[in-house]
Amino acid sequence: MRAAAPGGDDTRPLEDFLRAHPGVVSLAFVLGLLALWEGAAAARWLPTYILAPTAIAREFWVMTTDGGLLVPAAHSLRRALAGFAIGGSLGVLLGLLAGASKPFRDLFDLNQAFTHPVPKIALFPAVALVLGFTDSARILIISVSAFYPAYLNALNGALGVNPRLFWVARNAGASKLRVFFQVLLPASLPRALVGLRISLMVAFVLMVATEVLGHSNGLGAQLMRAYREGEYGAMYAGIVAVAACGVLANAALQWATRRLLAWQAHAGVPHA
Amino acid sequence: MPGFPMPEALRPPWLKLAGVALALALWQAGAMLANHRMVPDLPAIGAHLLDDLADPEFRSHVLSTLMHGLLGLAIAFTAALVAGLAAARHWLVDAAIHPLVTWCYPIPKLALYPLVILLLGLGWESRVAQVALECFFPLFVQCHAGGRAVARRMEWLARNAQAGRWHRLRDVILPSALPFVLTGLRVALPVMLIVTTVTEFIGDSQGLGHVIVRAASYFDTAGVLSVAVVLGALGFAGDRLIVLARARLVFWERGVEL
Repeated sequence: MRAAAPGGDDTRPLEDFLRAHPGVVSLAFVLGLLALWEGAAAARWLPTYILAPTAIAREFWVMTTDGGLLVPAAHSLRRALAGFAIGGSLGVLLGLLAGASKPFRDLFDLNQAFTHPVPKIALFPAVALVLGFTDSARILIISVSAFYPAYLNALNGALGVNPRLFWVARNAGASKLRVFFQVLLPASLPRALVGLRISLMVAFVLMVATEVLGHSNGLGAQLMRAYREGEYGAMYAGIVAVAACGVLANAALQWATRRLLAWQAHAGVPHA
Repeated sequence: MPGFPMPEALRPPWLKLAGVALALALWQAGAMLANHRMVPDLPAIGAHLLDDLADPEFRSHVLSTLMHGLLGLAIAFTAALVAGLAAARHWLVDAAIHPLVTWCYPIPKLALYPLVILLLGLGWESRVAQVALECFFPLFVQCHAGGRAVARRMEWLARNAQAGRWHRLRDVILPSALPFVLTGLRVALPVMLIVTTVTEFIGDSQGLGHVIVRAASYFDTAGVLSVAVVLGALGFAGDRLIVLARARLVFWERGVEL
């Protein structure tokens, strides 16, 4: 063990305290970085387009209170969450079906292997040629992208279910539908939720990506416009808003995960 | 051996091939029903793909996408390996950066692209930096988990054998972390393709993303789909390579399904 402070070999009160409270270290680290940034900006070492953290916070507050961020955020979130809901639920459902039935899994297997690595955003211009740069085109691309992580993880979750659980259910005379919803679904849930977490992240990446092309009323379009017009304050406010949406949605999903898996011994999902 | 069931691995995967045929047939039927040039049928996409592959300019765009994507991935990989292992092996580093990374993980880093352009310009540098930024997080998470996965006994054994720090890193820690690192690469590869393509939508006129936008501006759906096929093939080949590398490098974990 390397000593944090030289000399004191027997008692290291500082190190003991910090080991017991790692949150203090992370907070100090983040605050230190922000202070360096603020100081560099105050000393005018940074180019004009790098705003100080306090200036960004002020801009974010002003634009949030006057509604300049909330309306685009609502549009963006609606699309991201709609795409996540459609793609994620279809992914879990088909993944469980594929896990339960080998013929079904085989039919999907090669298609999935070939289409999974295609960046779905590459199809967006083609989809937009047919549907226009509309909500439907964006939600379609987001749901297709969110489908794959959910499908793959639900499939692996279903394949990993202890077969004894099925035998017991079958012996007790449970119908196929009942086995699916009362045995397969809950038993694969932990893994499926890991997949949904990745799906949610993908949905947010695609939320921004689909607003880069065509006209849009969302956050991604708002911050690209601010960048082109040189309104750096508005650009930073948009970045903070996107970040806040991502963090909040992730926190909400984790909260839901803990609720759904409360019956398990190890509640909480391993990091994806 | 007659009368003996063939092992599953050797039986031709009829049903899987039938699945692909079914999907292609569905597309073809849809295209014929729609009968619209926005929905090209399979021969049209195939012909476009062959034309593209024969075109040296198209090939230079493929190369550009691949080079910049891989360079970004390599930078992210190096940074994630150093930071991830350092955090996994030292409590102070862990306390400083692990919560920060966990918080930033669900943020779409693509929102930072305008800022990256301001810093590095519209050329390839900003694209590489954006790819590295987005790929760093899944790689860090796996490297961190890998650095933690070293069996206690192995470490004790290495220490007892007087293995130095560098020796332990090379012969104990890195091999233990390898399966995790490869999993991280598997997650990061599709992310790399997505981000490279999106940044090419915006940046200077290079790469497959640019080809897509150009084709779309001519209402050339077959051209867009042909690029999508190429991107899918690149992703598929990369993924197979990682799986192959895993089978080769992590030979002691035989039979672990990916």
